[in-house]
Amino acid sequence: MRELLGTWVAALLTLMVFSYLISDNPLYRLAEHLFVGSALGYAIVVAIQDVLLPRLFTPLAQDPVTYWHLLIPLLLGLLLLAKGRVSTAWFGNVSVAFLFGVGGALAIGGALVGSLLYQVRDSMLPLLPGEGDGGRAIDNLILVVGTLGSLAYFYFTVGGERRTSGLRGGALRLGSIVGKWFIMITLGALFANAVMARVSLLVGRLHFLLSDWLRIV
Amino acid sequence: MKRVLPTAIAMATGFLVLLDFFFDNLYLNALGVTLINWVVIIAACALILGFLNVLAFHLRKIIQRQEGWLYSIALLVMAGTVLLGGLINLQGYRAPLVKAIFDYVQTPLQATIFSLLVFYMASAGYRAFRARNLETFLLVGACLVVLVGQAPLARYIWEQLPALKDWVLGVPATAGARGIVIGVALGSLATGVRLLVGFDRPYSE
Amino acid sequence: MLYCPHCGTSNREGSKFCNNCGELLPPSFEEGLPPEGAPPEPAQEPEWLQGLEGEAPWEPGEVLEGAEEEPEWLRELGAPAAEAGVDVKGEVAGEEGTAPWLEALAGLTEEASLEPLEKEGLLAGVKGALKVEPIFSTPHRVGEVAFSPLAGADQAARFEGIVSQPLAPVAVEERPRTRRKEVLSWLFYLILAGAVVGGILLAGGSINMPLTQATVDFYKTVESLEEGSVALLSHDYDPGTAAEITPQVRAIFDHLMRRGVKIVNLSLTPEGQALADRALEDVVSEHEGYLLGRDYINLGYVAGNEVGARFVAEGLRARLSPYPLGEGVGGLEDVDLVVVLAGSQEHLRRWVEQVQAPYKVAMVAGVSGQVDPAARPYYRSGQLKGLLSGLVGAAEYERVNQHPGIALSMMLPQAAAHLVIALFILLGNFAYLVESLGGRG
Repeated sequence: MRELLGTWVAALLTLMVFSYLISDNPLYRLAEHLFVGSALGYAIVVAIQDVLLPRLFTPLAQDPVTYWHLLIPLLLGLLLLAKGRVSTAWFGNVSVAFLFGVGGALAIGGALVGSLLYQVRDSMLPLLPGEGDGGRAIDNLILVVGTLGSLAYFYFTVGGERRTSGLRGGALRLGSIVGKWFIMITLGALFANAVMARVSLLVGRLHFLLSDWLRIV
Repeated sequence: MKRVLPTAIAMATGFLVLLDFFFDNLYLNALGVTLINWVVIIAACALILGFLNVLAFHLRKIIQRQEGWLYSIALLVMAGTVLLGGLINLQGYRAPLVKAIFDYVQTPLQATIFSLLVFYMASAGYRAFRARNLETFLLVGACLVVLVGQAPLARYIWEQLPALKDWVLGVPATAGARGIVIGVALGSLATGVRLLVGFDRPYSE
Repeated sequence: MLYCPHCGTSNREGSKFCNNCGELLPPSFEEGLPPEGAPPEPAQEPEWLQGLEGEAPWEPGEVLEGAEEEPEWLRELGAPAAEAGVDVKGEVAGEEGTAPWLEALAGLTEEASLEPLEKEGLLAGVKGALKVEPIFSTPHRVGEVAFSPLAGADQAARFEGIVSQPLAPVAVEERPRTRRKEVLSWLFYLILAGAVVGGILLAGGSINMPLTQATVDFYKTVESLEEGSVALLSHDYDPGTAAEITPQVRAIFDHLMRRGVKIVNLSLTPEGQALADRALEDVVSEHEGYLLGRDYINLGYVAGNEVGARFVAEGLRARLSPYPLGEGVGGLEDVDLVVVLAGSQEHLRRWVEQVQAPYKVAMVAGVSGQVDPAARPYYRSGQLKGLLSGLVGAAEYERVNQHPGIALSMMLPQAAAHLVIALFILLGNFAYLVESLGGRG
């Protein structure tokens, strides 16, 4: 019974959202607000149940002597809440600084070790064909050229078109032209995959309507 | 003091965690774990702060009878229902009401809202994906190869299409994506360093 | 070129004082006034005219009342010349304390007040109204004025013409085109939805679909796990991507449970832990003997993104110790495989950077389709030992596992939608081709 009622509610809400395709309308806006409300409430319930209760409140309540150091994150958390009002917002700066400091440090370490090191190392590929793997050599060449090219493209465009002259400038310009081609291919692939992802969502929704709700399939 | 203290905290904690990241030392590890544990707790408080902000925004809308205030009521009622539902028997998100709202309200709504985009992508495909020059030709070409190649019926259109799709994804697209990944990593590195030396202070207004 | 209104000498553009006589050159005109006899230049609307918004520094009719009391702004106009050291003494002709240009203004006004400049419009019937121009240019001796009084009238008339034009209504010609665009859009939506619905209705058995290397590598990695190994699954997705990732998760759970691997679940998103629970409930029912706490566990949500991932890596032992599953798990080094289920690029990158690289743990990923291109570099470099991509990846995995499920049954509508959208793109390019050929012909 609960499941039947739930299925009908879900189907109704699904149709309310789909009505946006015709035009923006009150049904869609209501559905949107219901979603935001439920997502918000749910995130808070989960944050309290899975993080704050077991990691902060319960240890402090059960054994404040051993867990006295948890008073610090408690204080920092309360200070953070002061960010809600403009007049007291500066109290929260310490907590935010703490978050940024730790997060920034991990971002440095992670970027260096996790991305840069491995990706640059893997770009140093054998370009000469070994025994019978000429195709692989070509692939490797394309990978190296493409990686360098797209980096040159970013250097050239994101950093502004610096007037680099001479051999270095010429190489950079050529690299950025080639890089643009590779970026275009990557963007095309990205779009195609994004379409694939959303299509799967649509298939899931329509399958739900036809199978779970209308029981046609 | 107002400005110095947060900067000092950001630099000190960042430096300690960075050392812990690269070096394996008992005391550093213990300190690092403690700091990280605290950040997890404070991050959960940040979620609550976000919730309070949204609450204040919508309450103001309702009190001032701004445009769409009725929807704000619906939003707050729904959020309140989930929160109160979690308090029943202190079951949290395993409470039947919260589970039901998650399964029959939140999940279908989020999935449907996100799936709407495919319609606009389809119509954008007709209007915007025009091969005007070499670059856009590469864009459209790669898009078509991957799009059709990913379709499970691809091999009935052209036998080599799945292999071509794999090649496009695995070689040129990977090369471009790798450039992006390296670029993003360099950016993160730069931003992190600027934070740690106190050059950037996003935490003080 | 700037022409001096006093002596007619041409000066370089941007000059403030005349090279010949030292008079202040008019600042308001980009091109100064040509001396008499020079070919008339087409009247250009000076900047001040365009920007004029009724902010007259003077009230009509009032300016020359009490001209002896030199207003502040008039006094200041004379100051730059004095500061520049230009000798303006020679120019003084008239009463002491009255600047010569002020006298010149008086002269002009007398002429002007005989006939109000405008009979209608903004400046209608304004007596004593000075021609707007002289106020903003440096005054000069009347006799040597190089401009015609009519020039001012011409400009004022033009100004009046501009402000008297009624506001033109926005052209409504676009309406039919917008309507046609809307109908075309609805047609696209209908065709797409129809293709998907048709695919769902027609879908019978599973399609014989090809496998990608990334999926095969994923399968081989899981297959190589021994009974009793520990796998850590991070469910970093939400209902927005669950349609793709939940089928992957189900297939992965099924495979892991068939291999007898212990499964530790957690999530860096609030919704992920609930979605993991749902999938677990479904799959565990097919595997008797798999017990909660001993063979699988759900540790719930961990806040903090990067910090959360690191927290999991460093604090795993403490978190698992209350459970039987935790016996023998000293930390991340005892985890044989980490499976990241990422709905977004950031989640995947987080795990690779914070856990895979520093701890050198074996990692595979199941990602939403849109994350796939960003995940490829990590797969290529060997940091990810396998990669499942979207619902299609889930279907491939079901196939390689020889355990068909929901994903395989959705492949026909998926394929139909892909082909329809590809057709739209081709159609658009065809239309563009026809347009450009038609335009040229």
